[in-house]
Amino acid sequence: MAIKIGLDFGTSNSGVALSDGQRVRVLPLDPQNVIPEVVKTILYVTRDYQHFIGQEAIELYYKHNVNRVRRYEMQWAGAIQVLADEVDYMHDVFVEVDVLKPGRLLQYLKTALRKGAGLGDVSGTQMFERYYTVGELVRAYLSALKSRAEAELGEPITSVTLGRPVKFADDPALDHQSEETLRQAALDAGFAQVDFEFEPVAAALFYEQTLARPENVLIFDFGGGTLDIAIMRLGEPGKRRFYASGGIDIAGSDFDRTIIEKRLLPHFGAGLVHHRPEITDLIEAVPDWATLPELSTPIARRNLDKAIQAEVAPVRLKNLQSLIFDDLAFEFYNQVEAAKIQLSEQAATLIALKGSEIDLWELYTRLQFERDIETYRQEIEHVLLETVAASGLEPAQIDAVVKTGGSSNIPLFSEMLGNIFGAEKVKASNAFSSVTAGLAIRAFETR
Amino acid sequence: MFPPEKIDEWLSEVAQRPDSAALIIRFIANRLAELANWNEKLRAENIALRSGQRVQEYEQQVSHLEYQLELLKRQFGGELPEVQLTAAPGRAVDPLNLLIYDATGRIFRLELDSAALTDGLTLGNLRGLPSKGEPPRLLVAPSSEELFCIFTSGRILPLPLAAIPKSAPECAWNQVDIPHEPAVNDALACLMPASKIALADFFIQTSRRGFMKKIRMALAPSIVENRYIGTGTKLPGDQTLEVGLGHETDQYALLSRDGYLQCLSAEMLSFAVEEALRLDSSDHLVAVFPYRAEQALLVMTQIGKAIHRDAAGLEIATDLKRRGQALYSKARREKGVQVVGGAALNGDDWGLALHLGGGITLHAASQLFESGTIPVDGEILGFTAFPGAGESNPEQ
Repeated sequence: MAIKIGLDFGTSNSGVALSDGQRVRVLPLDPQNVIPEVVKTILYVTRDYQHFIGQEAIELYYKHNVNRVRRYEMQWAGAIQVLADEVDYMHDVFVEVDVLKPGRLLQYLKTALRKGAGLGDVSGTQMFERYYTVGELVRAYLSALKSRAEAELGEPITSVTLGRPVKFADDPALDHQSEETLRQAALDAGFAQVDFEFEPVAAALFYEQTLARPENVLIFDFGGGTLDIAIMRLGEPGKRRFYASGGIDIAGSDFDRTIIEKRLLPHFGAGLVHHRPEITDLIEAVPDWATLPELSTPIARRNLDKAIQAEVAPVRLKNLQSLIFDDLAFEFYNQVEAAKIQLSEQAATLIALKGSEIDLWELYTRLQFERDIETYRQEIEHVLLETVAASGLEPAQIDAVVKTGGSSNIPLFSEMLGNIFGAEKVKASNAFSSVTAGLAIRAFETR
Repeated sequence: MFPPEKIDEWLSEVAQRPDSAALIIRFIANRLAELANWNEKLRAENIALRSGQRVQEYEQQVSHLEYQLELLKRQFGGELPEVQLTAAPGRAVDPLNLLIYDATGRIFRLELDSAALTDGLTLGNLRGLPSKGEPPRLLVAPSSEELFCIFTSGRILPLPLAAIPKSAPECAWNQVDIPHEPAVNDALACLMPASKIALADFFIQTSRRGFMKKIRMALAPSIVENRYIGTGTKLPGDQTLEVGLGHETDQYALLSRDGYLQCLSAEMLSFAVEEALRLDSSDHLVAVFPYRAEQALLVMTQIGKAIHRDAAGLEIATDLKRRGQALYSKARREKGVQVVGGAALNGDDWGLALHLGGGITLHAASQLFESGTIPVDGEILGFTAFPGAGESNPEQ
């Protein structure tokens, strides 16, 4: 039997679901993830051109890179022609290349797609001896995701309904090109039939099916990578109307980063180490999970050893050394993310790492979290009100606010929506999988 | 640990959501319990430091490391030249010695001339070997080797091989030197080459009745310090047969006098004394040695018959306390055929046999594999082997 799935190719997270007309099954394609139904939109390409996605990609990236040997060689990268009044010569350009680099980690594939894949803006990247276009990178990710879904279902998948933002870009030509690149990548990944549905529509599909009369609906899709807002009139199939859409690049990953910066960096010596740029650089890199493995160099270890011996915050720097060199980064970032999720359910949580050389303990409350992300809340409220204004509607004219995405569960934002539109209008959809599930329903209807 | 501003923030949380108090108190109480536990450990450590106990322990560790360094130095001729270490790790840099020893502590030492080794050569003659009781045992080791004399009481005494007087190739057994005379009611169980102690994962101790145990290398400092390793036995009347240095990946062959062979991997063995091979009440082990898959096992009987098995084809026991596999038929066993020794060999290695008539004969492994027998002077009392020129590890 031909199987058609719904596939949400998100900026930070992706997912696959299948509907049989009665119920929707979101497939647990990443058992290593905190939420197995969510697959991080991360691609790791090894030197022998093998592709890994999701948590497996992150784990492998850490495994390959923490404490690895590096060897830098000067390689010719090209030539620059220098023209002046009386001179005209070619200047060779050499770059230092780590020839032992075991692979490359790529994030924000969708952003690359949105920024104009194939139009010469962000068209691709060199990966060891090969050049990958953005379409090829997306194909590699979709292909791996499809293989996992087929393994889970035990059957080949032939068709897909893919989610897409209301606008990839403001320029219609760029918007069309981005969709075509995504379509071609899906076809190349082995899907015989590919169609699209808008992500906000997919997110509101459950809700739309319950409507007896048309309503003005605001979709508040607040996930791991971005906040997407869409204001639509739903309830009249075939007569959907988009009033406005907006968004901002603030979401769950920014909150993780904030927690680390404001609460956890002091455990690694922030504020205690001065006039030692080689150490402060290491501390400041901790919030960036993708950078941390790159810090595990012999020079960094030596610098930390020296500072510890000089008794510059030795306990905190020992924590830092252990985090970088004892392969704890993966557990650390997972704990931060898990703590953030827990604070939506309970008033306090614990972030703790223990080892022979590390003892990190941070009791973190919801109030602390809300204070830490207050600036983001203000920015989000501003964008939300701007989008409502652009729709030409007053907040009172919005009949329902459908919130979806993991970050929409954060009580601070539920309260914000309730204060603006009225708490009774705020409806919760499946936080982590509503877009995926909606796409699966659409896939079933159009199979 | 709990800065005031953080405590204020937690109190604010409790003020805003009073339900959170229980959760926050639980987290803090758990942490306090954890810190109290650590505090106790640190205070104990502090006491140990101030009382000098920790200093004593470190001094013991330092002296043990110095001892190991000394062993390594002796193995490399008194120096630790970097070039030798990197150019030929583990290779013997000095002549091999044949040691023949018995329970009374008598040790015959004969330096082998590697250039003059030929198949069938008689290396020496020991007159007046006892025809009854436990026969002497054989060991080949380089001159720089550091030996431990292991006694049946569990006592150990270090003995540099170079300190053993060289014997004349032909002499009377009762004139052979006794470097360390065993105490009353004690006997020399075996000689253990110990120079590579720093490279081993554990000691492995085997008793005559087929019991084995591993001993953690972490205990080496106290073993050396106290000169006591224990007997490794469980049954009354049993005694130590062999103590060696082992690695987790090693495989061992156990040979019994009545012709049973048991092969097992080191990882199966425990750190407690356990029965590795079940033996008849009149049987006992005569040899225990490690082997590699590419080698062949050669088992020598007292009548000069050499039984040959390819190591790759040997079955590794899946559990202990089994009888092992019979190397020859029951009929031959009933006729009195007994195993006197065995070794793992490569094609270019050498075998050494000690005869009841006193002869010490040298045999090329290739010839032993081919003919399967050696000429016997009376009967064979003991057998061992040592590597030929192609092998880097002189120990068997």
